[in-house]
Amino acid sequence: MNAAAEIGRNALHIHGREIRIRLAVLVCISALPLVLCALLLVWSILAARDAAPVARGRMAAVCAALIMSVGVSLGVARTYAGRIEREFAEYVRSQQAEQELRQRAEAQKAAAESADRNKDFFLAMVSHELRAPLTAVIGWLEIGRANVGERATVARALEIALRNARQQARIMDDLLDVSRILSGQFALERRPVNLSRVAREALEAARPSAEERQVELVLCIQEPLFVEGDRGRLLQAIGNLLGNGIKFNQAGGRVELALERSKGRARVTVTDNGAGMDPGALPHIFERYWQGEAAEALRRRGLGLGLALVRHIVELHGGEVRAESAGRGKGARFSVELPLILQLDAIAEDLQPSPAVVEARLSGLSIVAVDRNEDTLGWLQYLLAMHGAMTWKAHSAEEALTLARREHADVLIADVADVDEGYSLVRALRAVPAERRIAAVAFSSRSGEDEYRGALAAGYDSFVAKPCAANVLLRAVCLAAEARGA
Amino acid sequence: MTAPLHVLVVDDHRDVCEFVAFGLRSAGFDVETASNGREAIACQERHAADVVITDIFMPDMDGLEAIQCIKRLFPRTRIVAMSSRAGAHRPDYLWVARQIGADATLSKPFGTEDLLALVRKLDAAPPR
Repeated sequence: MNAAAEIGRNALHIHGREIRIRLAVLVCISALPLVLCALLLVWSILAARDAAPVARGRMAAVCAALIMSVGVSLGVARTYAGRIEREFAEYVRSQQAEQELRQRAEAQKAAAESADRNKDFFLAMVSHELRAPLTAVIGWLEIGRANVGERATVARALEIALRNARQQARIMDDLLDVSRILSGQFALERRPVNLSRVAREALEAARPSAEERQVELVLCIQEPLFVEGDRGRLLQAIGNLLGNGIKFNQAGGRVELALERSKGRARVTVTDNGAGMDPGALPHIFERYWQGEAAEALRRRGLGLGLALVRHIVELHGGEVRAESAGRGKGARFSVELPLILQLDAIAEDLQPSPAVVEARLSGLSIVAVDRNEDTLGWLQYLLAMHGAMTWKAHSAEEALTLARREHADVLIADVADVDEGYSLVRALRAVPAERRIAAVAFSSRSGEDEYRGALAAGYDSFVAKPCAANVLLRAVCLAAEARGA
Repeated sequence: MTAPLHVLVVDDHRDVCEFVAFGLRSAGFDVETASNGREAIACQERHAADVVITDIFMPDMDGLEAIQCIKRLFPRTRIVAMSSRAGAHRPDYLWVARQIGADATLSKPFGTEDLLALVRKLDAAPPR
């Protein structure tokens, strides 16, 4: 709106004189009929006195002529006004188009300049990032060579050189990953992955650098969660988040890695009490090469690729990543949400335990099975007993809960055809910390998507559709038990 | 016999810091280390070094700030700035370091010999 008003003002200013002349002409043409009307009035008053018939005829002729001329001049004025209006509109349009073009060109130039600057800065960072470890590699190798007789010195020199060479290799890997992303060749190898195990591994991998920086690492896993994805990439994503939390922290700081189920998804949270961020920075932190203010980036190590890779990996897994911070110096929290595998028996064949593994896994377990159907209970008891597990039969949720507590059950197999009862049973178990270790398998003849989701959201570890083959049930029990560490 | 030259090495990259310190110690210098500008100033206040060798890009207080501060508070201390970015992009921070008072610069990566030659040269020349 403002731009249009501006163009209008400019147009009036530039074409001011021309337009003023035209407006004057317009006024003259419009004023002419008025003058003629006035003359007609005066003349008719004068003529009325002299009532001779000849004069009356003359008067009528003159009146007609005057009325005609008024009409003509009004027509001319209208045409003329229309022309001025059209020209003016045309001029405003051309000015607007020109201004738009100019703005677009400026925006493109600014974007190109900024991209150039980013690229320059990025190249400088890459060179710095590769040269810092190189200084250590060359320096320590030289020391090793000069002190070749001293075993301890040589060993230390080699150790440090190796560590720094590996750091360089990691930087190259990150760069390669980014280049794969840019060329669309970053692909995942999808398989069922136990995210809890990946989280534990990522934490162990991050431990040395955390110890070096004297940052405490805390792991908080409530339950095992399976997702479908690329194990190595998920490890990399969680590792990058942990690395970030450690890097932007001080001695005595703390980084917590938590894994939990949230609305049918697996949520990984990395919370630190380190440097934090301005709220204004939050939308940018997942951009490539972004590393806080440029001046500040120079003081930190790293290329600012870590979080961009995290986002890319998570999005390829159909998940999303978010960052929160209360502000500078107030720590940060990153959360990644990934779709859970809904059905454990959908897990790939390679996770299917062999009979020996089933035996080893189930042997000695205390299992509570609840179902209204005595035949089903009998079948379960027989099947589980064959693999060395002790099964307690229950006919109601209440009975199952009492038995599970009394017998210190490791596994619960519950019919959830009655949704309310089945769900509240597992919720009751999950509400007590000591009972969270109990693996829970839902068992139902109603096996729609909603039932799967509902059972997992309520707290079951897996869902098996009735009727099912013995090995499907055994596998579900094994995986649930393993997942809970029973 | 004069006391050995006291050198303070400042770098946030621990392995680089220790490599420089190791080279200097083997050559008989008395060496202290710090991992950022703030620590370096604290060391200087305890015991002013003859030569400070500092990296430029460090968290907390960077090398440029540290150079200015040391120059003002300890005019007799000679300063060597080291960085891996010389000439890689503008501005050249080693050049900037010289402008604000560094007596010499070392471009990373460098070897022990370059380092020792430079420190000996600084030792031989009287403070500016």
